[in-house]
Amino acid sequence: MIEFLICLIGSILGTLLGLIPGSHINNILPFLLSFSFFLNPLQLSLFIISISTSQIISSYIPSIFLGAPNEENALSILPGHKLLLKGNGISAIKIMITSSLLSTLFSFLLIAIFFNFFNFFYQISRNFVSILILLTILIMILIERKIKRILLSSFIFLISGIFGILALNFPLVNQNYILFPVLSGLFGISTLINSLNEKPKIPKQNFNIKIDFNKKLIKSSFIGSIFGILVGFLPAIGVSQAAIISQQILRIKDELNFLASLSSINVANEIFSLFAIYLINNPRSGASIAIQRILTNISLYHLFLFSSSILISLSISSLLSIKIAKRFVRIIEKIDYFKLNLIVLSYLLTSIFIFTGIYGLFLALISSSIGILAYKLGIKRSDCMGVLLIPSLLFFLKLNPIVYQILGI
Amino acid sequence: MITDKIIRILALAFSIIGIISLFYIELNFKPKFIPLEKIKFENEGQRILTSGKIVKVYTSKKNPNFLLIVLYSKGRKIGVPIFEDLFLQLKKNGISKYSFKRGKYLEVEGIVQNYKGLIEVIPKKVSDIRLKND
Repeated sequence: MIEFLICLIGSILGTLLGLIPGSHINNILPFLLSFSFFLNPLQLSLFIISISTSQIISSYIPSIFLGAPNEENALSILPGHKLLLKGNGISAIKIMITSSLLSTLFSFLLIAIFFNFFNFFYQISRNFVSILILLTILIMILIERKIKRILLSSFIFLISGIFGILALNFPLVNQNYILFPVLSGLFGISTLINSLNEKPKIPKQNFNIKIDFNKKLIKSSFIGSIFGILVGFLPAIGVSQAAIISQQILRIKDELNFLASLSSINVANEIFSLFAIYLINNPRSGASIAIQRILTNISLYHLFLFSSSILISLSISSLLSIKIAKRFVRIIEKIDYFKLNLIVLSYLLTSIFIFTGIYGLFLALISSSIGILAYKLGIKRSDCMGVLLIPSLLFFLKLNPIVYQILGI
Repeated sequence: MITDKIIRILALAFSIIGIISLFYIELNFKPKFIPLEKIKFENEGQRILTSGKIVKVYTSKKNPNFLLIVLYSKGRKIGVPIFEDLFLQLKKNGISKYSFKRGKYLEVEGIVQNYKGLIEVIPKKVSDIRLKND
């Protein structure tokens, strides 16, 4: 009973945490670990799991409505913003929540089926990732078809990639926070600045939407779950890279299915990260590292409790997030969107300064410029993902030490 | 009136000048030396320079191109993992796992990470690893 109560409190706290733009459980883990004075190791682990899973769901709200993401859902801003401007902000949230819940079921199913094979997959998968990334990059560029657009797309991809190699190695910003200014600039700040320049009005949002449980949605969630699990055991591949790769493989063109795929990857990745402590003895997220430190011997019994905690917190957070999203929409419909954008922009810049200092702001300035440039050239902003895809490609081709040595950095 | 063309030019200029500045800063960056025994978990994510005596070298049965060197100084131990990509580059530069003999001193530059409760300094290129004879 006490465990259920802990999950309930954790889910509420996690939902509130996700509503804070740019927030992440990693930022509050040291504080959570201090709870070990009055919670036993298992209870504390369940508390952390509830917070880390429930914050994923509610973080879709600031990402879609304010254009202020955290690291994992930076890519949701672009389709989310488009849907918001069409009056479909609520459907964006609903589709992300629905696919997150579908992904939870698929992830548990996939983990149960392949339970004994993950160690084997972990060993062999690395050899094929470079080919997958290379193909994704080629598809992303060649999809433009016209020569001029292919050249512009390649330029944005390349400039983002060079920026990525330098930024992800930048010694004056703590490496644990480096993605925050980089991705916020490319996808968040640049969208807000363009929005300020174009002064769009938020149309009346459509509340009466029923999510169509079609094949496309199920397919996006299923493939998203597979990619989320892959992210869980591949180094140098994150949720954003996986989202872009799956988008190219599945040929996802509409915003809703892209959001479905992204949120599925996010949830599956979180679930697998927690299970990875047991399955491949390799914690793959801040929360799982903390749990591995708290619970020294993790058994199957613990995995069952983790699963229950994940299910409880995702359900509670989903219900709360839909209610909060509806209320949120009513508020932003009344507020001047220009002023709201200004407030969010100031908030993002202040958060970047707090976490990464003046040099983080410097990174955000460069990344925002690249994001704005892509937008003004009329090139799809996902080309800015070169910032992560090129460093990942170098990693899997084992070229990183050579590149750093040649550059002298 | 700020036109789209002006915004495009400004964004391009900021991107290129920014990238060049970033490169210049990194080229001239000298990491802070932190004595091995003074590296703390709070240093996680920072790039530092440290040195210590090699007390153990672990190899992996699964991956022969991976090394974990344990450095010691004044009662403290840290790990220096050499991942496959760097290990292969070291080999090309005439440094093999046999070069990391117990008792030798190693100066290492890298990012501080906490791996399962052990502080590690992760080097990323050949020149981040400097073997000293005594």
